Amino acid sequence: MDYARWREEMYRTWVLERSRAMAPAVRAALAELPTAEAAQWLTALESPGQPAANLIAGWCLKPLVGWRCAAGLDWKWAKTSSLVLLAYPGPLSWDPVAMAAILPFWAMQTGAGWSSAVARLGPALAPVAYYGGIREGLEPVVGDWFRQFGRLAARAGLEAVVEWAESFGLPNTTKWDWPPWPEAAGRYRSQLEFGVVPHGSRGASVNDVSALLLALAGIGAGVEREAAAQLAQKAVLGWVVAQRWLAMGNKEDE
Amino acid sequence: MVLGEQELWERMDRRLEERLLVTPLLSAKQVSGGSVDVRLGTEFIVLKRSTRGPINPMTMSEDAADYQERVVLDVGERMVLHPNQLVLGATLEFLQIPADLTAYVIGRSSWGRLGLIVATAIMVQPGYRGSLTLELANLGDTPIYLYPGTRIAQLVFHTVSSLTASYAEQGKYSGPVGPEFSKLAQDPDWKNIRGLALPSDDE
Repeated sequence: MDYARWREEMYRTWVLERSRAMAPAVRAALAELPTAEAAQWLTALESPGQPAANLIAGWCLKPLVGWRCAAGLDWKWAKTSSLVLLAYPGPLSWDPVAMAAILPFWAMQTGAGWSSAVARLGPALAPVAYYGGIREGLEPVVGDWFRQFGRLAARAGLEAVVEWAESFGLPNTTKWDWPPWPEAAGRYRSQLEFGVVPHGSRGASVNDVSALLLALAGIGAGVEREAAAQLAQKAVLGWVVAQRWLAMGNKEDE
Repeated sequence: MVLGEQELWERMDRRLEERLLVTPLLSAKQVSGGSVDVRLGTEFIVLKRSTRGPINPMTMSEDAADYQERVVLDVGERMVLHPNQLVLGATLEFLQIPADLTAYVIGRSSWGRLGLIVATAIMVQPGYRGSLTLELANLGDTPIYLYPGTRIAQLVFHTVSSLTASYAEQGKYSGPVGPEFSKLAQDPDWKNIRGLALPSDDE
């Protein structure tokens, strides 16, 4: 056996040994990938991931099955027969707005997920793509977003996003079925700016995560955004728990 | 004066600046009989055995990773609290206490009877915003599962007779959303304590 082949076999054995503690679907996915790529995914998947990132990724990709995400340096994906692996930029993982770009990123890869991305993120789609740093492949939706929400977004303090969306031009693309601009976004933003976790009446959790993302995006970048992102993250956690609570048959007024 | 249920709800309906906030409130039953139940959150700081030496409260921020580890559970997961183990948890809820109220935190006796002691700073200052850090210790002989979302303590609210400096007066202060480790090293008294201390072998 020549050295290169022997080295490749040792490398592969090492990857498969290290993946032993992982779920069977993950191990199967890694086994399908070329060794070097599998090793990179393995290293990423071994880290527990950022709580904020996991929460938002869970909300974004909820309707989908068979995916796993991990912190990396940039957006990346790998499709195998058992799983779709998604990597997000770890340095941005504290920011729910940037993290929500995982949904348009996934739609770009599949080319078929735009309807669900539009329905789930609504007017927050362009802000999350902007702050998540993705651009290529967004042409099918961002022009239509600008047409629908450009003015409203500018009034909501999202001038940078509007300018960025305008730079895509206004191609004659599909008209998407956008949900309306959420009324709650302004209220959530006031609460974030005041320094409390966004909420509904009498301490109820937020009921619209895309409105929360819009509210947070309106705060811009910088130190205030970091503080507000923590509050927004707590609001998303509250929403997740409240949804599960209700799904178990509990009523809010119980 | 302890606030009753009706006034607690009325305070929760006030404008944002004066609002009593406990969120997420999963059930109206959490507000009952003059108290508000709070639940265990998903984030913990697990205290572990140090490999480098004892905790020195004067300098502990320098070597904190040696004896503590942050653990975040997914919703629906649980963690084990072993006998004699101490973990710091936080309330699932984020609080805003109005400037004219203070709150006392009382651990639920049902947990105490299993050996789980819930301690905290006991008094929550007027104007405080944030989640509450809870010190959880298992004094029993049997491990106990901790489930995020379980009701772990009660808040009893009192009015304060005259307004004094509060957290709210510190401008845009917003407190922690998860558990916080002790800030004892930031205590200004250490300067004086250092002056009193005799030289020791490890310094």
